[in-house]
Parts: sequence; C-alpha cells; structure tokens
Amino acid sequence: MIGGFFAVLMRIHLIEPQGALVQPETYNKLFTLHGVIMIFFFLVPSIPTVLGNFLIPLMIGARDLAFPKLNLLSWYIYIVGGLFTLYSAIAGGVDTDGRSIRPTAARIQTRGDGCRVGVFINGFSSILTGLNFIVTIHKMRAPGLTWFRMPLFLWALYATSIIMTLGTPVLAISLFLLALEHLFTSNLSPALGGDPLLFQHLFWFYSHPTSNHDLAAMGVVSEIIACFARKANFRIQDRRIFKRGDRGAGFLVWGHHMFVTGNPLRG
Amino acid sequence: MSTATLEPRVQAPRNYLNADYGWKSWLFTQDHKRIALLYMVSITFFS
Repeated sequence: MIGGFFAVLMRIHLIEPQGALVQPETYNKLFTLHGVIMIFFFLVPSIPTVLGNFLIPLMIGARDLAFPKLNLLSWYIYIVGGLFTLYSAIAGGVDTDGRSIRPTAARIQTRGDGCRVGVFINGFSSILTGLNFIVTIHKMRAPGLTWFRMPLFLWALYATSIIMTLGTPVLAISLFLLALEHLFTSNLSPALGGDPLLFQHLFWFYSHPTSNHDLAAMGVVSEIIACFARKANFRIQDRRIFKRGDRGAGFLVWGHHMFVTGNPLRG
Repeated sequence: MSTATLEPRVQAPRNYLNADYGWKSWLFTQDHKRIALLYMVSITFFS
C-alpha cells in the first residue's frame, strides 16, 4: 500500500507536463522511496516468503520447514527492517537520486543513510529464508522424491534461495562500504584514492542475479499453466537444469550493466 | 406438540487457522502456513 501510494502520487504529478503536484526534488524522492520499498520489501521477498513458506513443505511432503524458529525470526527482521526504512525516510528523508545508493550521489547527499541501514537489516531476513529453504529442500524431501522428480516451482525456489543466501551478503558489503565512506574516510571516491567502480561491481554482483527474481514467478507460471491446461510440463528436465544454470550464470554476467563505465578486462 | 430437529454438530477439523485465535498465537507461531500469512499481510502493507 505504501510503495503503491508513492507510485500513485508520481502518476498524479505527471498528469500535467510541468508537473501537477510536487516540486521536482520531491518527485525524485518519491521515486527513490517507491524503488526502495518495491524492490527490497516486495519484489525480493514476495514469492519466496509467501508461496514458498506455504507450499514448500506441502510439495516435498514435510511437516514444516527445517528451522521453524528461524523462519519466524526472518519475519521479525523483515518487519524491523521495513519499519526502520519507513521511519528513517520520514525522519531523515531520502536522497533525490533514482538509485540513491550509488557513491556519486552519496557523497553529495547523505540523507539516505537510514534507508540503507533498513535495507541492510532486511537483508538478514532474505539470507535466513534462503538458508531455511535450501536445507529443507535438501534434507526433508519425502522418500522417493528425488531431485529430478521435484516440481518446477521447487526448482525455481531452490535457485532463488541460493541467490538470497549468496547474493545478499554482497549487497550488505556494498551498503557497509557506503557507511564507511560517510563515517570515516573514502574508499570509493577517486579524489581520495578510492575506486567508485568497486562499488558498481559489488552492487551489480548482487543486483543482476536479484533482477532475475522473475524466475521465481516463472516457477509459479509453470505450475499454473500446466495445471489448467491439464498437460504435464514439457521438456521438464531441461527446464529444471535451465532454472538452476541460469542462477549460476547470473552471478557471472553482472558486467553487462556497466557498459559506460569501462571494463578493465576488456581494455 | 412440536418436534424440534437437532442439527448434527459438525466441527471443522483442526487446522492452522482454527488451532488458536489469540494474537500471541500468531506472533509466536512457528507454523510455516501462519508465517506465510504473516508475510502476506506485511508485504501487502509495505508494497
């Protein structure tokens, strides 16, 4: 509701060419808020935590996830991270940059620090959920449910969990480097001998695999279409391997987000 | 004399929704289905 509210404000603002509602700076802040909330508090957790939590034990024939207390803890962390982000956005404001976590914007404006801490906290929720799913799918499948008999939805969630567990710490490191940048000395500013490209590499190492969270949705679609078309999924073996392989490849191709920054490996 | 018909009492089988009703039973639950619903409500709030 909150992320959507910001989107509605932006749409109303765009009714007139010169802007109908807010100042340009506020418009950019709305964009930041909408982006932060919709990516970190909707897109990333929505399918794994809701459908995954509900369906994984049912689909593998287990009574519950491997670590039920950890599961509840991850929900609390999600709530704390989300409320902290909202509070810091209201109390301290946000940067006016569309991607306000990049160091170039951060050197000029540091109002977004609270939001970054909120996203940092929320990352632990992702890590714990991913870990829980991986262990559950590895260890608690019913006898006879081999890897290649598992439905596509579970393969999609398994692959997503690997990203949540391995990718999120890299985002945390990126945010931590920004905090160090603000609190102490610069490790990213070229004027002080730092390297802003380091931040971009770290950011996209997380963000490219994460932008593939639509594959979790493709897992849902695979099941729904197969169910209502009353046909078995075709070439299911290939698609399982594709889902897993795509996640693996996702960690290797972040450079294509950095066309204009230059790549030292390509000269 | 009128006769009243007694409807047989059908009790819904115990499940994750009717197992308990207090707020504590939701906030301290370890049931994966209940946690999924907690997530659904909170993600709807944030998004």
